[in-house]
Amino acid sequence: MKDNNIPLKKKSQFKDIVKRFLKDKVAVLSLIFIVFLVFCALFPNVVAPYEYDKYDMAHAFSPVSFEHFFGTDNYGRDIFSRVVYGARISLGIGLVAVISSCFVGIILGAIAGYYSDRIDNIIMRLMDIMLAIPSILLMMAIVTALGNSTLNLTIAIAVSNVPGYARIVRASVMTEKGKEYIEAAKSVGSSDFKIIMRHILPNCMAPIIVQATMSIATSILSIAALSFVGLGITPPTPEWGSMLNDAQSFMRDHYHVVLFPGLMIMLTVFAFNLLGDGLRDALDPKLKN
Amino acid sequence: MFKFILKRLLMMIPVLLGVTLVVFTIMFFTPGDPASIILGDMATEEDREIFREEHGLNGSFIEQYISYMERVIIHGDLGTSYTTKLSVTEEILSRFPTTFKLAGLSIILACIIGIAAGIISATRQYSLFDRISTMLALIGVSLPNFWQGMMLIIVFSAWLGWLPPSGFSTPIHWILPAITIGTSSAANIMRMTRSSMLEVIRQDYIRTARAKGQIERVVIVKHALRNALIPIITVVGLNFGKLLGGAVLTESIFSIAGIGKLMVDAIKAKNTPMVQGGVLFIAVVMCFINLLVDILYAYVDPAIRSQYMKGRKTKFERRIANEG
Repeated sequence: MKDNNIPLKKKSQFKDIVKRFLKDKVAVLSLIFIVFLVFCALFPNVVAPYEYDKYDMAHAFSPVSFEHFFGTDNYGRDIFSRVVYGARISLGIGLVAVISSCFVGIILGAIAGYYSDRIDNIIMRLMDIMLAIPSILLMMAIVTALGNSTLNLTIAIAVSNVPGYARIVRASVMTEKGKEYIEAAKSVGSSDFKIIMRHILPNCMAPIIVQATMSIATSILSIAALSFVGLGITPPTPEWGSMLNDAQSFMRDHYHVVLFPGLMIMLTVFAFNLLGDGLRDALDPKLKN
Repeated sequence: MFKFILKRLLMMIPVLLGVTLVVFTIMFFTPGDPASIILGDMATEEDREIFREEHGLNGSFIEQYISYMERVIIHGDLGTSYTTKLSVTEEILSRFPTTFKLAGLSIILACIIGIAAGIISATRQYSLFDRISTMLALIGVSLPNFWQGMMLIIVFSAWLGWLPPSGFSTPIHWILPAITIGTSSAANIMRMTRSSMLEVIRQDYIRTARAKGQIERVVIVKHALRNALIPIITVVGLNFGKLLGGAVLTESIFSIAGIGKLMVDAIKAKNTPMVQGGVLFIAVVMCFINLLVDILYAYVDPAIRSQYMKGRKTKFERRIANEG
């Protein structure tokens, strides 16, 4: 309220958003956790005490201790180090998949939303078809068809994410399209491309950013699920899902081989979900419940 | 109403055709010759040729797709599984009851927990219960369910010895898989119930109902919940559809012979007819659940009902179509 005394000062919207975001302690905490994970992914050798593929059969299945924070697996490899190295795959693939699906989804959604009727119908029915196939099966089929590799895993996850973006972008483009300023832009002779890029999309960024954060979370779950069934990531590359797959046969006797990789997946996904919630509240306070 | 259902059934056709085309394309480009995979190394080139002839594997992409669709539409024949030599329809129908039972059980569990927790959370916003249950719900959607299944097996079967780790024969076998599969649905339902109830509770007519001295329970259940029900039904429908498609990983962890496990095995073995038939079946089931959900809307909300009758798109339908 003290702003009343100050003569009109231009306030940056970005600062407002940051301020609102910083008030949300849980979201800030999750952001810190994610930054730490990114650090792990970029410099795993700094964080991890051992190499991820250092075999040490004499110490197979060591329990949790100070030498091995998370214990060791059936080959005596340090689980903590493998979990740290695993962040690379999950975050790396997650990020690339989300950015590429975001890009395709925005184009499709913007076209569908801006040019209604025929084109809209064709694009959205195509998206409906993709949504009618359970995403995990679609991803599995794509990876099997293209071949087992990290790149193809990324493609599969990106493809299955596209319909979500297309729908959200389309919805916001449709609400934005009817507003007066678009009419004004049209009347001064702006091209459709310019209207979409310069006027409509910047106003649709809030839901897109939130969707992107949330879909990193679901992508990480998908990566884990696919490598759990042996698709995408091949050993000895450490990946959280494939670590769980390897651990499956020993889980009854050695709980720690199962506990930590899974816990890591959960915490990461949890952090991205919390961050997404926090961003949504900060970007659009009206939506807050 | 009848006209509405008919219209929706007709709208399914292009989606289902599209699904078959997408799956057919993916499987067509999957490397590996099914003839040599199925017949093994001992088979001669002649045997392989006969096999390809029998299964319609010769000819271009379009010829193969047309002959496949001809069989499906005209004869209702989804083909035979390469691995078991049984008809695909039979295989699916023999697995479906298990998946249906598991999905039904999980969704009932999820509804009870999710809706109850959602209502309590919404009526006591920011209370301790609300905070804990929203956090739990967020954890619920963040859990990789195959890991949750493994941890439950470790605790309840390996350590405590209370419950069996695999199989699906008796009710005691149902507990762990149902919890594993139901968790994320319960979490989704809880989140939706909470936000939908919060939106309704703030409205004027709720204040009016309270002001005229109505008991709180009646206000919540009769006035608020009924009006908050539509988004909740949507989420329940979506989740039920997802579960019926087979909880792919959970089924293999608990060694349950359901649709999900069938599909995973089929994709891995490049059992093309099985994959195509299975995905088509799942897509049909999902379409029917969506239809059922739409009919339920009309049952719950008279405004939607009257708009169905007039054959117009409802405000709600438009909202759903726009927001996804």
